[in-house]
Amino acid sequence: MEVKVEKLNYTYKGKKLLRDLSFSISSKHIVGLTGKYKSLVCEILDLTKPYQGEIFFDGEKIEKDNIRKFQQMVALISQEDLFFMDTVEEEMNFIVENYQYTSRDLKKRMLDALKLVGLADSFLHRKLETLSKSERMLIKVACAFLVNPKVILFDESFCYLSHNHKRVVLSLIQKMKERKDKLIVIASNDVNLLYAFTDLLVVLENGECIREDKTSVVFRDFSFLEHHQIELPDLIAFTRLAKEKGVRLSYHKDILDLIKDVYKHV
Amino acid sequence: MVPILQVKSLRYKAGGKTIIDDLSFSVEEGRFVAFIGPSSSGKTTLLKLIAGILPSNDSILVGYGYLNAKKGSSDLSKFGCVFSDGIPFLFESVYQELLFPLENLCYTKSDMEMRIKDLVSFFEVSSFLDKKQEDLTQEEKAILRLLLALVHHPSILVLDDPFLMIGRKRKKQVIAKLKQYCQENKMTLLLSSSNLEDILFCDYTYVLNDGAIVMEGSTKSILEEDVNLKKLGLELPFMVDLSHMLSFYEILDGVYLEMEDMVEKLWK
Repeated sequence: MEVKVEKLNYTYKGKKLLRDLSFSISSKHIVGLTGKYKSLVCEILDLTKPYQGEIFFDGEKIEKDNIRKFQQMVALISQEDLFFMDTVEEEMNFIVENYQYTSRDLKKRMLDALKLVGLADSFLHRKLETLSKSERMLIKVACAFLVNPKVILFDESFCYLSHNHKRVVLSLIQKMKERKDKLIVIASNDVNLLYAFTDLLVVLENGECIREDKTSVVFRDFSFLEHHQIELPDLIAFTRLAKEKGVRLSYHKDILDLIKDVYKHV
Repeated sequence: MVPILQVKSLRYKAGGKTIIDDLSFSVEEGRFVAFIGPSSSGKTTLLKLIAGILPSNDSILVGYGYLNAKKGSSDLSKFGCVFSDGIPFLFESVYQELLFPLENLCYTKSDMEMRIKDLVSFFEVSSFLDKKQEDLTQEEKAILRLLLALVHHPSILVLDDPFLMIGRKRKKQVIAKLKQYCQENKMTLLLSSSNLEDILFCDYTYVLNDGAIVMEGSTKSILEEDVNLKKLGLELPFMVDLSHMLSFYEILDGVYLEMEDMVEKLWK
């Protein structure tokens, strides 16, 4: 699945928020989206907000007469802790109706979605207000996967997840990318999250795309990061400090690899 | 000297489930206390009980008076709270939103204006006063919620994961300001957090699991329990985690919170 955005413009209350924004992403990578207005870009990619410019899904341009078809291919997991219904089952039914999704055995599909995020069958009947914030976010993720979308947008959704739940979702994302050609976009300003879990980074600033590059390359481009006031991921910051002292550490994506490397150099 | 807060055999059930299971502890005035624990451990429920939002039936003492939301509250204006599932903002303008609690408490007009001005300038967000709610970013909204909890001069601050939406860099500044503010005004702070980086400025930490206190101690000593914390599914802050692992391999001794210090120690 490929999504191309060309010269996207968006004005709100007379102020231009997005200016000729263009980028191109595919399910080859787990895509990170960072910078101001990333949530707005997610809403536009979710095809629920009017925009000026062009969006292409797998080469087909989104127009008024085909937008409904494409809306059903995208799911947005927003950062808001808001739901439409009372229980998990009601919420799932609502989402399914909204997406006009049909399935031979919907109940089984719902339970499968819960299993996907590591939740027991009993969660189906739970009232959403009795769940913890983290569990509610897992339900949002389950609902998104329920309708089998081709594009899944995570808008700062990870901050509500507990450490364990985060790991569950991230390994799920990995599996989805490997097996099912889904385009996953993680919109976040958490540089550690982006560094660890995305391969391609789209960096926004002033409503434009200022960089579209491999995540590991962007986070080692120190002058770029400094110039645009983007924090360094912890693992990179540490190695950089060590290198400045003449220690030949390598850049790692995992803390255990860093430890092994430090061990060799003391 | 009576502790400002005493919790005695607190129990809370909802929907047939025990959420808080016989909790007892007390907090001295002016202390900063943190509550951490895995998802669904009861942190939010505990803070809501303490803030008088949920009924606690004579289990919680604030100073000399019992807190019991059923019978009619003791002085709830003593509390300032931030909860994530809180009420949405009531007004279009940020200034009006900040005025509202003060109006309800019958502040004079000039006192209200001065109070709000002082507070926003202390937290370096004076630009907020000209803004409308809808123009604020999620980060700014989170800071506003903090201000709303402080604006009426509470003596006890109850914060449930208030920094979630605030980016790391800004968060460090906000926490530093908050710490200074609470110290200067001798406030007692109760903070729950899902991110252990946030609790470093608190003196004492309670670790909750399944509605009970499973560990407690100075924050420093709690963060040394890396094995137990990891077993509960909690993630250690990067520098704490790194310190522990390097200590395990006998490359380092002790916890270094600043990267420069650790690099200096390792490779003089």
